[in-house]
Amino acid sequence: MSGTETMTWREYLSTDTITSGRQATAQRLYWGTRSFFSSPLAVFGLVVILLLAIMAIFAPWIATHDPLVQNLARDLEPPSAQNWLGTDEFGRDIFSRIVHGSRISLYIVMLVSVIVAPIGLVIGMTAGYFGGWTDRVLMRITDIFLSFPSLILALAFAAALGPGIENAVIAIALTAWPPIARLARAETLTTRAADYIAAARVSGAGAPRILWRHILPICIPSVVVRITLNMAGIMLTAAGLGFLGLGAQPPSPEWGAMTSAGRRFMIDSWWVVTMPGMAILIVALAFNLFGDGLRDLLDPRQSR
Amino acid sequence: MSLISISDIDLHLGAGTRSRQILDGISFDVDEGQTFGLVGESGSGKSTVLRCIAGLYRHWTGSIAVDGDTFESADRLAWCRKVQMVFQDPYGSLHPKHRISDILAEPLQIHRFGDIDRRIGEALEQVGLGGQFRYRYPHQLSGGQRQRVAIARALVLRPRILLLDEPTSALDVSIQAEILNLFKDLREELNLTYVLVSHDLAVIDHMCSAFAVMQAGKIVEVLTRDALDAGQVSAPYTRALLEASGHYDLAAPPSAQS
Repeated sequence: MSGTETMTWREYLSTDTITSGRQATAQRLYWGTRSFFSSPLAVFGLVVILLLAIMAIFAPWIATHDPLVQNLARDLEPPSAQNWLGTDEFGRDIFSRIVHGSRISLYIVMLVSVIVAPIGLVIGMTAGYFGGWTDRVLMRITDIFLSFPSLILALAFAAALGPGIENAVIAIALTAWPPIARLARAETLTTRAADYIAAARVSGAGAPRILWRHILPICIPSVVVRITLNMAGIMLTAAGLGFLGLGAQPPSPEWGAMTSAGRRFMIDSWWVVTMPGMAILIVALAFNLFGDGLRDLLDPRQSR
Repeated sequence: MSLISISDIDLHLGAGTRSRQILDGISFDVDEGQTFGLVGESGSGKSTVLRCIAGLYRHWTGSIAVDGDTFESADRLAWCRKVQMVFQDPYGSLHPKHRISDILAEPLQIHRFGDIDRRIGEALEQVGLGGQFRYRYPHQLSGGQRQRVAIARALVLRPRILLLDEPTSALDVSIQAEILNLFKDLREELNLTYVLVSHDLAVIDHMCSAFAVMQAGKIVEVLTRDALDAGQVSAPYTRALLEASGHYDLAAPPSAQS
C-alpha cells in the first residue's frame, strides 16, 4: 500500500478534485486516449498509418531492391522469396517500389491537407460568421471551384503549371478546399447563433477572438474528420494525374501510376496492378478509420 | 436619476418585404438597486429588449442610457463592464470545449484585468461553487452548477447591471428557488440592479419591485408589486395574463414554501 501523501498516476488522472490546468489537460488526454484505444478499428487505422510513416522514413533500409533498377531478365515474375510481391514489366521489385512510393503518397497527402485545411477554414468561417455580402461573394467563389469536376480542374492546372509532383499538389489543393470551406461555413452558421457566442460578445470579444477561440474549436473536429476521409481521394487524384503524365513522372514509384501502368498486364500478371492497388486500399481505409477515432478523441462531449 | 433609462426603442428584423417590427416604442426606467421585471407571452419581444440593452442588437432606434451615458456615445468595452447578461439555457451558454477557468478568464483577458486567478476564485465563491469546479468542463457539471458558472462569468467584470433572460426556466424546480435566492443575495451584497425577463408571474412577484407587461412588441402596462398584490390592474391583457397563470396565489411567493 502506498502512502497517502503521494498520489499515484491513476489517482491523479481520475480524481474529481482537479487542482491545476495541467491536470485537467492530462485527464482529458488520458480519457480521450483510452476511449480511442477501446475502438479496435481506430487502433487498426493508427497502426497502419504509423507503419506507413515508418516505411516512408526508413524506405532505403526496408526495401529489398533498388526501386528504379530494371532487370529485364526477370520481368513480370510472380511473388516469390526473391521478389516478395513480384516484379513489374521492367523487372523492378514491386515491394521495394511500394515501400518507396509510400514517401510520395504521404508527401502529397500531407502537403495537400496542410494547404487545404487553413484555406477552407478561413474562407468558410469568415463567410459563415459575417454573413451578408461577405458570405455571398465567398460562397459564389467556392461554388465556381466546386462546379468543376476536380480531376479536370487539377488537369488544367497541372497542364498550365507543367507536370511534376509539386504542381500536382497545388492543382489538387485548389480543388480540395471548397468542401472544407462549405463544412466550416455550415458549422459556423450553427454555432454563431449559440448563446455562448452571444455571451462572448456581451463580454466584449471582437470578431477575431470569437472566430479563433470559440468557433474554430467547434469546426476543427469535423474538418479533421473530413480531411482524413478526403485523403483517399487525394491519393486517387494524384494517381490519376500520374497516369495522364501530369503528376509523378514515370520512373518514380507512385502507387497510382504503378496501378495505371500495371493495367495492361492485368490478365496475365495480376500482382502488378493488385499490389499497389491493395496498398492504396489499405491506407485509404486506415485514414478513414483513424479519422473516426480521432473525432472521439477531439470531442470532449463524447469522452467519459 | 434612474440608473437605466430606455426611451422609445423601435427594432425591425429582416430585410425588405419580410421586415417585421419586433419592438415598438419601448420605454421604461430602472432605479439603482431595483429589480425590474418584463413579463409577457413568448414572442412578445421581452428577451429582445435585453439583447438591445446588452448591445447584441445594434440597429434599433431610440435611446438607451445607463448611468447617464447613452449607448451610442459609450465606449463599447466600458459598456460591457457596466452591463452583463445571464442567459436562459445554461447548457447553451457555456462553450463546450472551454474549461470553467477559461470561461471565467476570458472577459478578464479582454478587459486587461490583472490578478485573474484570484478574481476567478472570488467569482466562483460568490456563486457558491468551490475551487474544485475550476478545471472542469461544462459537460461535467449539472444544470444548476452551469447556471452558477454563467452568473460568475457575468459577475467577473464587476458590472452594476445584470440582465437576466429567464435565468431559471431551464432548471429543475428544486434548483429554481436556490438560483433566485442567490440573485437576491448578490443584489444586496454587490449593490446590483437587475432587469429580469420571465413568463412566470411567481418569479416576478418574488424578485421585482416593478415590472412591465409586454405584448406584441409593446409595453401594455407598468405595474409595481404593491399594485399587483392589491389587484390594481387596468389593462385587459394583464388581467388575462393573471388569470392564465391559473391558481397562482399572490399571497404566497415561492420563498414562503421553501
